[in-house]
Amino acid sequence: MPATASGGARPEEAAVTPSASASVASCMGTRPEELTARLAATGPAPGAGCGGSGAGVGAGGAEAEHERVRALREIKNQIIGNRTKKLLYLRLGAVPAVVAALAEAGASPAALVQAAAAVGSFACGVDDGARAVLAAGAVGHLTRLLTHPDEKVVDASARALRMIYQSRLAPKFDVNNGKNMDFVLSLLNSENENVTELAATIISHSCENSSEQLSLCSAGVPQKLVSLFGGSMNLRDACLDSVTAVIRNNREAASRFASTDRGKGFHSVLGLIHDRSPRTRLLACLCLIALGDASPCHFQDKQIKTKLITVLLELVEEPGDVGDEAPLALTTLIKDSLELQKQALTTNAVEKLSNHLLANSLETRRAVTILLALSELCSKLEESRSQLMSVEVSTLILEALKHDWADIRIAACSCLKNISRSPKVLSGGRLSCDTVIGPLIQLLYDSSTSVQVAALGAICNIAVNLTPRKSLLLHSGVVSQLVHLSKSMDPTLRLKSVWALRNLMFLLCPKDKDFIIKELTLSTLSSLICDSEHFVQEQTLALVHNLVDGYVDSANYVIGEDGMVTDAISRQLNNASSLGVCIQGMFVLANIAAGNESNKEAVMNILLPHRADNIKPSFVVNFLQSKDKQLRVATLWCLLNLIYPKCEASSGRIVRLQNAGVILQVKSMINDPCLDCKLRVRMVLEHCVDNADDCFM
Amino acid sequence: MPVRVVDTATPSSQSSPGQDTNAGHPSPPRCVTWNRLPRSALAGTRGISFAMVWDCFAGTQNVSSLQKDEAWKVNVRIHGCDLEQGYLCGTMEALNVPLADTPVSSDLLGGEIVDAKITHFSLASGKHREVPEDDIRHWSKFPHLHLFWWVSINISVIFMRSPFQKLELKCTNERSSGFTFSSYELQ
Repeated sequence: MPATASGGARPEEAAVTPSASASVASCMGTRPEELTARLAATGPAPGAGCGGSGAGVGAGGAEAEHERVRALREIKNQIIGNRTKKLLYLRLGAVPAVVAALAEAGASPAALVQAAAAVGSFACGVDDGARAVLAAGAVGHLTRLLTHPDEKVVDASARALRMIYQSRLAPKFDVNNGKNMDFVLSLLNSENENVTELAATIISHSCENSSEQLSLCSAGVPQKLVSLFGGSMNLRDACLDSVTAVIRNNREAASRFASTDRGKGFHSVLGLIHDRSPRTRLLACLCLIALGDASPCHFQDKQIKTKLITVLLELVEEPGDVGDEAPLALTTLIKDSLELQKQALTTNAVEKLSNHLLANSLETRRAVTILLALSELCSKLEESRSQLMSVEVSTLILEALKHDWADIRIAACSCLKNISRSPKVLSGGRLSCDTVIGPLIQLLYDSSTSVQVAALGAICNIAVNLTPRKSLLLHSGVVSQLVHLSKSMDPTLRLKSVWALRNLMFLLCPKDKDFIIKELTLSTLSSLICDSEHFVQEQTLALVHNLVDGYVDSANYVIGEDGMVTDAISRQLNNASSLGVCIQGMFVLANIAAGNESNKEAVMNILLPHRADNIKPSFVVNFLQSKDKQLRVATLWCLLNLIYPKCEASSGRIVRLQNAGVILQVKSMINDPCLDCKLRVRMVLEHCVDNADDCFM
Repeated sequence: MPVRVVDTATPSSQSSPGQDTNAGHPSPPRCVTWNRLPRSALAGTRGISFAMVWDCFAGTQNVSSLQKDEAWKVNVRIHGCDLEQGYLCGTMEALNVPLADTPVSSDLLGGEIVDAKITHFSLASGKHREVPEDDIRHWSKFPHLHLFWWVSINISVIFMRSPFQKLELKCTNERSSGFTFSSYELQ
């Protein structure tokens, strides 16, 4: 849960109302430099450090204390909600002086309240402020003040600590430490709502790993948090956020929460999706989504999920953070679920989100989150893709590709990537036009790697264009940039650029294949086959099998004079580094083996090299014994092509395969559980018999 | 590659495999790739199933009605078949169709696959007023239906529910020395 939706730092900051001090300001000077100097000049309170309560402060001391309170109040009033002023005071070094005011044993409650409020404000929304506050040791002082006899001091300290713990820079609170757990529980059990809200904030901020989550569950924290739902709106929101943190990605914690007290907690959260406060509704939805993710068996009710979709779509209309975050929550909810995506479609999600997008500027965070939600809606459903392509939004997506803001460019690429999963779009080549391809290719040169990766995702899919317009993409300059990116230091860029080249190579004519290979070069191809990442190796081998598909001459690319590429493939297959690499490698060999006699012999020499020591069994036998049916199928296809009937030397190859134990292995697969394998096995054995008959005749 | 393409207008009027043999032109020995389940490549990358791809098929389309019997040559190219979603698409070219504006009429071919296991789409949807028992009895008449996967070397029949079409594809590979494979993978 982002901090923006976890209790509202800024409104809370503003809750400490600036005091009217105009009369003081008029006579004392209120410029930041003057105030900082005045605060420093007031120095430690008399009696500080001797454990006194300040009762013995004389008249001079009282005046100094009064002066300090006025200075603190003025600083606090100036910085609340004012980022520029905060940064100015930070530069002037005011934070240590303000924190020092908290440390003084003789400080008056009024000074403590003002200092705590100022510290909280410094920590709120400005990382440098939070850093300075933490460095000055504010957390320790504020924590000590939670036991102060004056309730106002406790309130102010709790509020300040809450703001500090809303910063990502705040230290984590290890609840596995018994003392810390006792402390959190004592805060949770406090009568003071500010203090219990602080406890909830600390839990949200600190609860990270599974053991912490389970410790909190064992201590009954989720139930305690649920019991606080009846408090103020801020407390309820903080508690909801905390419950989410405790159960997120933790099956056991989620399961315990959902089943304790006959699901009382679960039903309490469920009730809050109808709350009057939009933020509470959003947080309740997020809590239920986290529960469903962590423990799907406890959240199977389709009606509730449908309700969540409806609530989230309504929340998109809310102003501020809630409306910005609601599309993200919807994205999380429907992610990878065809059923929920269908459900969202029936509630007109695409239309509603599109309308919001059209009504808002692209400059907003909401536009980004809406685009991401639309992208997810198009990830599986053809109808969603059609809807999105048919409305004005498609024009807006193209505009977004050229936007200055990287986040919106990434979101637009994500939409195009998922739209282009459509077989209709691919068959019709609907995205293969200058208006789409031009901006996407520009993004391959983007300064942000994330944008480049996102653009590659869309290009990868659009490259699978099944119309003659494929040449438009091919000759748009994309190939040279993809080749450039395939040499990147970033493995994701290498993977995606090779992937795009593989899809671009799919069913190309010889002339176009030649064009790509000239740009790529066989030497780069060989390096990529032996890349450090096996995902890259796999895609490169898929690229090679598309290269040697269909035309006998194309095999010459890989079995040329120096055999650089075949050597690389042979090395990878002998190493058997990953399943995907082996499958793609075997399809490359199958394609080469479909060629002429010399091609078939080249493959035979990879499968069964003429070695003096014939001790090591061929990898072919291992592949045929693989548990993965795709690898078995690919290997069988390769064998089939090698012993294809009516080829001159097929019988010789069969003998070699028999001697190496390959045919014996194939015979043992006659009842392979995979029907496809079973069929290929029968074909191989039939070909063996046919070849034997031919030789006999 | 001799291929037959048969198109029938309604389920009840379809012919059984083996009828209407027509020879088409030879095509390269390209064939089926394979189908793969989704998997994650790297963090943030989600692969989705990739499609099988065939090359061109050719044949004759027969249209029979009370008024007339017509036949014209067709070329079919199957571009994609998403078995997970039960969707098949491609393009169909019809040559010298009577009363057509141009000598070659092209159209997108796409629809839902009726598969042997009736996993995705069957005629039992209610749209066609069949009951499941009728549906199973009806489809079990076609022994080659389960060969859908093996189109590269066998007679295969692809039934599509919406729009209803029956594609009967027979591929032979007599003049080649093997099959090659081509594939793409979507992100």
